[in-house]
Amino acid sequence: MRSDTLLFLHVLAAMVLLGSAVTVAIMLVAVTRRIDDVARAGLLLHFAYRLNMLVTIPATVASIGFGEGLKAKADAVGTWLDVGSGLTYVGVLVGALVLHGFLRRGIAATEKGHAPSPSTMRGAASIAPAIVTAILVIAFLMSGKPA
Amino acid sequence: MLASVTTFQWLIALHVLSAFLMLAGGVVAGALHVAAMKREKPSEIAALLGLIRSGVILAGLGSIGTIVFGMLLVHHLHLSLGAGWLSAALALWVISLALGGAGGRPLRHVRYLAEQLAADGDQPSAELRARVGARIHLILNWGSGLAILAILVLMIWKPGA
Repeated sequence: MRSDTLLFLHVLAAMVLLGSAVTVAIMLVAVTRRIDDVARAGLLLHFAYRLNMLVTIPATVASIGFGEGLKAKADAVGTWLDVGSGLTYVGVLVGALVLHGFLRRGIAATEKGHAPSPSTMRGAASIAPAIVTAILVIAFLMSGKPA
Repeated sequence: MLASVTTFQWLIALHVLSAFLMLAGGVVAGALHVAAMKREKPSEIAALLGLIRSGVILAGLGSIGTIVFGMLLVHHLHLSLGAGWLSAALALWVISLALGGAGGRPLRHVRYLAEQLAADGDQPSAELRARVGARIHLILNWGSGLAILAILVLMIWKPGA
């Protein structure tokens, strides 16, 4: 595959990833604000769970895959690349997998007719914005290529 | 690391970051709209459509950022706005905003209807389902997304540059 095509697919996957991560974060903040509305919490957690599993995680893998292809083709090196790649693996991919667990726990509670526990929602609602922040920092590093 | 960032690096990073926010806002709005189309209860549709506002704000900030930092980049790099790929990208930016605005505004009224129906017993309504799934909104919103995608193609391949 040509470098331009790899770059296009890499950026597109990253943009979809940010959109999906932001949607999940918005939903989790909305659930936290009205945690006692079990029906609403169940609806939003279900949707956040599916979005995280079907879009965020695959888009992260796609972005990493196209990025690695691009790195090999362009023979790119630099601190920006090391920091960006590290943040993608640890901050975004691991973060999305941990979030997956929190969302499952929240959904299990709403299916039993209970509100999700405050600790579950605190965990989920802090990981989701952290993932969004990590993606924004990565986008800044990858496009500006500082130092 | 940040101390060594040049003006060009700042501009390109902020321009790309803004483009990310613009497309992310579109994804937020699109995902919530599609989710709302699959629901029956007005309270659920209202809850999902109510969150679209955040996506619209994000897309708005992103579109302002892309044009401001994009113009600063054009000035910094002494590029000509007459270049085919640049003028096409600008035209597509305007088309994307126009389509997104036209497709998104009616959804606000659909949300008002959903909130009203939710307060009046929360029974499924054929009118609400028809309005939330109206094909014209989808065509306009997807058209806006495709215009952004076309801008990304132009920015990467820069045909004719």
